[in-house]
Amino acid sequence: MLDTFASQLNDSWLGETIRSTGWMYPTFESIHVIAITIVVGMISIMDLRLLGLPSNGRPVSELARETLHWVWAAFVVAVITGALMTVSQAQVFLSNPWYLLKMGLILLAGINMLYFELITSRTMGQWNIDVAPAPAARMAAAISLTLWVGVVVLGRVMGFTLNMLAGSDLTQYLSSM
Amino acid sequence: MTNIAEWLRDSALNDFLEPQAWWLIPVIQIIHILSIAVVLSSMLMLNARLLRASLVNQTVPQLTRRFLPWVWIALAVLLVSGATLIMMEPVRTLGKALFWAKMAAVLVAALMTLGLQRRVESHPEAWAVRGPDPALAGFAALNIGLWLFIIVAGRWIAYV
Repeated sequence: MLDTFASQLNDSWLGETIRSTGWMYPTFESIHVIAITIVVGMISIMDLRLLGLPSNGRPVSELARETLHWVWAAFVVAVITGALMTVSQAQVFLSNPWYLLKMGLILLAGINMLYFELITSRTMGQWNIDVAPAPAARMAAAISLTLWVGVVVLGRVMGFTLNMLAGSDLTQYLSSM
Repeated sequence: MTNIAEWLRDSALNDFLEPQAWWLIPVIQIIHILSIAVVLSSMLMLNARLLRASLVNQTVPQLTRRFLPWVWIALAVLLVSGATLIMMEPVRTLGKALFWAKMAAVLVAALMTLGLQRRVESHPEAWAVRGPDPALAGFAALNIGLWLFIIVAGRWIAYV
């Protein structure tokens, strides 16, 4: 089923358009890297604060306000550019185990964040200004940091295990290693 | 430059690193990207404040003290990890104009940031109450533009 879906995506008008130009894929990739570094960097600022590290002891609620709009905006950009890259090489991506694992980690990170927002943050009033917030909040931060670093790791591992862009400089580069 | 690149490729250090390249290159790239996340996010926070688009309830000296130590540490990691990547693939990088454009942008962006830090630290009281300033906003826009260019150039080096 995934195979059929992948080949439909691959043969779609959008997939063919992206493949027909040399510049679209690297452009989406560049924007994707900018977006993912903002997502991971801003989430790290929040998570490190929850773990009792830096940010000059600022209240967690204020830090959340300062970082989360960056995270959401960048995440939307990362998803759009990631989807465009996927469509252009759908069969290659959707058959890559690292790609599927990466999607799994993003899903887990989302569930972790939702749990934190809906359950853990209800008691935020009690630990908002503490250097070391409640254990549940610290746990959420540790899980989040681990998952997002994992997403970056898998994103890179994917790049080295894709058999794509046949005949391009990228393939020559990868095979030269 | 081609000669230097080829000499590096044939050097003893490269002979030592080459057999490890299949795992070492991805690992170093991951460290490189995570360090970029630290630099870009920290510089976005600081520059957004200089543009008065965010964090206006905090002073510029508070933010330089809060974020710039992270930027300098991450830049040191970027320098070491980047140099190692060049050692392993000198011909891929040193011969490309885009690589040198990226290096020039890194130098300018880092010097701009250092200059800002020195000015802020020499007159923290004045900077704490500083009002809107078009020159400072221009500085911030240029600085963030340079960091974004550095990331885009880094990715395109693989293609050009």
